[in-house]
Parts: sequence; structure tokens; C-alpha cells
Amino acid sequence: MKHNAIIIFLTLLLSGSLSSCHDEPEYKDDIYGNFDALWNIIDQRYCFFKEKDIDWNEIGKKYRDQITEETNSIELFFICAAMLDELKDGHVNLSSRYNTSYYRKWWSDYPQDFSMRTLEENYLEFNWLTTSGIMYKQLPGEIAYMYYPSFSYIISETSLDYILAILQKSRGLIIDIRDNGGGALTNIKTLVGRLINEKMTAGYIQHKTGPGHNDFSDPYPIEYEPAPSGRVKWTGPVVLLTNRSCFSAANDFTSVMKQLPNVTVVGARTGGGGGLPFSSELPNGWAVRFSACPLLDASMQCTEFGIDPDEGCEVHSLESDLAAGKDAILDFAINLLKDLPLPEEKE
Amino acid sequence: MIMVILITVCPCGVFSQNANDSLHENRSFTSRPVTGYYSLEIGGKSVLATYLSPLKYQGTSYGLSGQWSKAMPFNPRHVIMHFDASAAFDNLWNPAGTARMIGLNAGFKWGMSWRSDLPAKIQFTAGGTIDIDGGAYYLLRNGNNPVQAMASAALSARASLSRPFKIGNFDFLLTDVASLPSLSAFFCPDYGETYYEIYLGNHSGLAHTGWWGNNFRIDNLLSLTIDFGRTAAMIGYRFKADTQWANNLNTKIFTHSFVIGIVPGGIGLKKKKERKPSETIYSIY
Repeated sequence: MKHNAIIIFLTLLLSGSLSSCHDEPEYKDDIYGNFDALWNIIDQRYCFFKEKDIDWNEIGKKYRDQITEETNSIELFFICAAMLDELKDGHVNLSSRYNTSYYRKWWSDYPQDFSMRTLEENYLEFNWLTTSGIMYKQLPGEIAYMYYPSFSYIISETSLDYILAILQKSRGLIIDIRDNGGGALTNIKTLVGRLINEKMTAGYIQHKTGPGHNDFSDPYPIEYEPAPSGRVKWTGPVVLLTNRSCFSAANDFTSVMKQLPNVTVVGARTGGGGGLPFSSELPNGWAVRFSACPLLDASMQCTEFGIDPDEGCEVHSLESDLAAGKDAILDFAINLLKDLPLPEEKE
Repeated sequence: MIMVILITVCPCGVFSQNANDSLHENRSFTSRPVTGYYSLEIGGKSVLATYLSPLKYQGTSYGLSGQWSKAMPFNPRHVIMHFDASAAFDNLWNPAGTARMIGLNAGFKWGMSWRSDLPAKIQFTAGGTIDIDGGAYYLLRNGNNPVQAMASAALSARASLSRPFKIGNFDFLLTDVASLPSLSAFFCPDYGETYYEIYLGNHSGLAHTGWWGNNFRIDNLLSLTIDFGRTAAMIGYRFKADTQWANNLNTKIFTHSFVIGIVPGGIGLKKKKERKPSETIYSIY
């Protein structure tokens, strides 16, 4: 009887070990193995094939035909990078020890519409305050101005209290995010919380549920709450300045701000980047980053291709004007706000 | 974790002390000392966690573990209660050596076993445990998918075989203990889900019911203990497998460790021949 118990235990143990095997494909660390590993990672995990009408099989064949047994590592890198460029996605990078590939055409093919030097010299007059990465100042005509260069700077609630308190007696607030390449989405929540009075559905997020091109979860709402009472809030008019180099979190911020009734988006269409990127890697150690989770706006539309400014508010700052010290987008925003009453005048 | 161990073990020590006190006062009481193993573990580990990477990471695992056991008062010869605690730190690299993964894990098991004597001095125990395990594997270079969090609660089958033998004046005990989580609940993010989405509140599909088909795990320790009377020393080899298949994500973790430990108070082999059967009943053999 005791021996039987041991035999039964060992048999169950063995059957368990056999039933739990789920083999993963293993790619060799050679030219073809690394190429195939990269192609498969993107094939199974990239999230915008449908929106961009991409035939990934065709693209894979086109670039695989370019490699041979004689292809060296550096040549392979540039073939792989060219294949990834077909995704036309600024969130896609291939990183090796000697280079990181980067698709730049999402901004390089468009006017820049912004000059930091022009802003600092002609509008801020080399005299501004900075906290949590935000440069701010009250411009002539009692217009509040904030420049937020990157969502990678964590915005502290206390810093935001000071900024908004110092700028409070202004006709309107300009939030300038031109050239903001993105960062942490949690900063959007912090900033938007100061501009809203009730809970809002800011957008939706999806994720892949499997390796198929159409395997997606249901959109999950992203909800923002107003900042808790006691925090300094801004209830007046806001003008958000954008250009083509607003990407990723800056793109998402624009899509959220555009919904708010007191916000006007001025400038140029943003650069997109409406997919949260994931990371993976190849057998040779190269890292690959790619869009994996689509971010949708409040009407469940894809934000990957950028957000337009409000109607009648598309403005471009010419290079020649910027060189001459004139920022047409900022001037447009100042004109929108300059005749509005001050908060005390409203009362 | 130390606090948890102390909180859990202290009552056992108190019970043991009480039992010994009672022994002095009244010889009819049975002494049931707590036997504690304290071990250091070092070995090799491989981790495949496809949420983080399709590549298998390999490296070194360092661990601390403790096992406390005691014969139960209602049937001290056959029923043993045991509690295990362990913690491990892993330092792992991808095959090309370009990325590092760090693992931190802790686990607790509490359960009871029935023991019986087989021919040739072999002792067999079989029973069950309730296991709680948690930890994380952190891949330093990943962006929005940097961590594979591991968490599970399980009902496990546990069995052991022990056989004492003697070389010269030294008493040895050869033991193999296997623990096999059989029914579990475990955490796994969805295939391409970020922790940001989980933070936003989307918790659907994160908890899974596990069985051997999707969450096969085993923890096997083969050990040799030499009993010096007042203390005992142990060396051993531990093999752990932890596999998980959920949401099209594959996780396979294998550990091979060399184990060295001590048992304060010994395991009773030396005292066994001197003691009266009714006085002291050890939980180990």
C-alpha cells in the first residue's frame, strides 16, 4: 500500500511535467536567426498594422532577400533598420552597441515652427522662472505663459501650486509644448487635474491579447479626476501651442486638452506617437522598441497620426520670422488672449 | 520577512519550551521539539519570461531558506507540522551579455504531513501545504514592460523519503523532499498589457487558476544531514522548476542550487537510541 502511494505520487509528478510544456521558438544568433527574430517580434506585438495598411509579410520578404550568409553585422543592422522604417513610427528603434536606428520623417519632413532661442530672447527676455522642468513667466499684457519641454520632467504638485498661484492674475494661460517629445503619461494627469472641475474620460487604452494582428483588448477608459481641493487650479481660458515635434505623451496631452471647453489648440498638427512602446531583444543582444498599446482619444479614434489644432487655429512660424525674432504661433495665442478680462475684472 | 519568520516561529519555540518544562514536571508528557533547518543556497538559474524578452536569461541565484517542523500533539508519531520560508536574489544576463535582469523572490509554506515507516529504515511522509509566493524579475533596459511580477497562492502536495545510515561514529540522514503545487491562483499580465493600464484600474484577466497544465512547479531538495548530537549540518542540492503559461505568455524558471545548512539542536539520531520512546519525538526522523 505504501509503495503504491509512492508510485502514484511519482507518476503524477511525471505527467505534470509533461503536460506543462509550451515551447517557444528559438532563433540562432546568426544573420538569418536575428533577422527572423526581429521580424517575428514585430509581427506578433506591433499594434498599428491595420491603421497603417502594412503588409508585414511582404516587407519581411523584401528585406530578407537582401541578406546573405556574407552579410556582416553592421550591414544587417541597416537592413533591419530600413525594414523597421517601413512602419513609419517614431516609437520604433533598433539599438546595438554602435547605433540606434530612428525613424525621423514624422518631424523632419515638416516645418519646425519653433525656435527656443527666439522664445528665450524675444518673449522671455532671458528672464523666467523654472520648476519641475517648466519655464514660466507672465508676459506683457498680463498673459500667463508656461513652456514644458518634456513630459520626462516629473511635475510636482507643489511646483504646480506655485506656478499657478504666481500666474493667477492673468487674462489667460498659454501652455507651450512645442518640441515636447513625450515622457511619462502620469504627468498629463497631474497637469490636466488643475484644469478640470469634474471627472472626465480622457481617452482609452488597448493592448494586444495575443500574437495575431487583430488580437486586441476592449478599449479601457482613462479617467482623470480634478486635483483635490486645496490645490491651486486654473479655471480661465487656456491656449495650447503645438508643433509637429509634439510626440507620444505630448500628443496624448493634446488629445486630452482638445476636449476641454476652455482650451484652444493653436499651431501645427502634432507628430503622433499614439502607441505605448514595449521593448524586446534579439539573440545577438540588440534591443528593439515598438508601439504595442494603442492610445485612443475620447471618441475612440486612433491618435497615432497626430492631433490637429482647433479649426481656424492652424498657424506656422516661418523660419525667416523666427530668425527675425517673431514667433507667429505664440503671437497668435497672445492675440487670442490679450483682450480678455482679468480675473478680478470678471468679478 | 525576518519579522514574519520570527512571528511564526516564536510560538513554536514557546510550545517546545513548554513541552520541555512539562517533561521535567511530569514524565508522562511527550516532548516535541521544533527542528529548524537554516540554509544558504547558491546556484545557477535560467529565466525565460516572454513578457519581458523572448530570450532565456541565465546567471546566479543566491538564497536563504529555513524550515521548521514539529510533531503534532494529537498524533506525534505520525503527524508533523512544518513551515518553510525562503528568499532569493538573482543576477541574470541575456545570452549576448548586453542586458541584465534582476530577480527578487520570497515564499512561505505551511502544512502537515503524515509519516510512516517503510522497510529498511526508510521513512516516508506525505501531506499538503499552503504556499504563498511572490517576487519580480526586473529587466533593466525595458521601457513600459520592465517587470514580470510573480505572485501565487497554492495548495501543494508534499512528500519525502528519509533513510538514516552510519559511517563510523557519525550518524547521517539522507532525505529527499519534493513539493508540488497542484492547485493555485497566480498573477499574470495580459500578453501586451502595460503596468500603466493595470495602474489605471484594468484588472481583468490578471488572476488565473493554475494546475499542472498551466502552472507546473516543483521544488525538490536532496540533502544529507550529519547529526553531531547538539547540532547537525546539512548539505544538499535543490532543484526548482516554476513554469507558467497564461495569456499567450510563457514563463519558465529553473534553479539548481547547492545548499548548506545547520540544524541547531540536532535532528535526534544520536539521542534516539538513548531516549525512551515516549519522551521525545522529533519531526525529522
